Amino acid sequence: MRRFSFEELIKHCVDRQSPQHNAAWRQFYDDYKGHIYKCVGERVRDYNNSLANRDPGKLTDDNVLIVLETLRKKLGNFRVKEGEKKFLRYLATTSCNAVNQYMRPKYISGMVDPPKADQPFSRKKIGKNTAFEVYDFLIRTLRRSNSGKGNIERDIHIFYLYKMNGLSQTAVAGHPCMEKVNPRIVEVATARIRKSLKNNPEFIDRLKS
Amino acid sequence: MNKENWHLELGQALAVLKAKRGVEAAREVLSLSPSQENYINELSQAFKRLHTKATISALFADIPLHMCRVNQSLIRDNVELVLAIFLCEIPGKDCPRLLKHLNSCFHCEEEFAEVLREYHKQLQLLSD
Ligand SMILES: [Zn+2]
Ligand SMILES: [Zn+2]
Repeated sequence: MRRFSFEELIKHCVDRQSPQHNAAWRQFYDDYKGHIYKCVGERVRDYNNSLANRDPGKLTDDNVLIVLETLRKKLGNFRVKEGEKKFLRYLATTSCNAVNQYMRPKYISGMVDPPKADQPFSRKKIGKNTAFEVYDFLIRTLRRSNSGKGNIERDIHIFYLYKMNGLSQTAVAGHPCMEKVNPRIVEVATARIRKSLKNNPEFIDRLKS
Repeated sequence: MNKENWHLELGQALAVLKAKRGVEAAREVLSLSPSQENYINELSQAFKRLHTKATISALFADIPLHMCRVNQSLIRDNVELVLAIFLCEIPGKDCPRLLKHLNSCFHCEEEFAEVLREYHKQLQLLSD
């Protein structure tokens, strides 16, 4: 079998009508699976440290499948003229985003509803970049679905301190800049955040009812 | 403050000042090092200046709403603000600007949490 050049390869992968479509995807997988596995593996390892009971090999395979699905849909967005070197960077970004998208809700669900067999939660083991990704996503999600609610920034801050950073309820209640916070209010704020996440499509099936 | 454990030293110093029992009384309980005692005394002086200048509300009003730039940190670099946050008794002190900044700035949020954790721990030791 003749091998496709880089430009032909991408062209046939994108074009579903092409008679070479399946052959092109076979070559695509051969050529790039090493790179994809490497990008996916690093991120998955980071999350997986907090999801201790999962088989890391299977989790990586699951995520690679998701990356390939994403590429099947979005490969057309890549401009072939940018060349293969740029493409490798595009693959790395796409892999990273896909893993984050798949793993973040799992991780956050584990934080909200511990412990579940497949998602025991341990914040300390997650890497700094991944922790930032999770945090950033959480804040954007909560702000979007609670815009206009007066207490939302306060609730988010309490939730971060108590659930994501693991401060005790009394430590949070001793916060110097929030009036009248006590352990019960910490619970109430956490419950409000949980409820808000539960109404979010990404979490609907994940959180206990 | 560029030391690795600055948030521990800061949290401890804030707890000693909050407890208002003086450095001598805290020395026994927390086994303070001479350099930590110096640091606490420095912060105590800075706090006294802060009150007379009545700049507290200006400090809060100056809190940026967005993320700090790389290598900058509101909690590490703005000692006056941190003193005001932890030690000032202001009625209606709920501070939306501070909470908004912390929520928007992961770096400051993490640092604030570390300082609060240590502050709480040391304050408990002092009140036992
Ligand atoms: Zn900041
Ligand atoms: Zn405040």
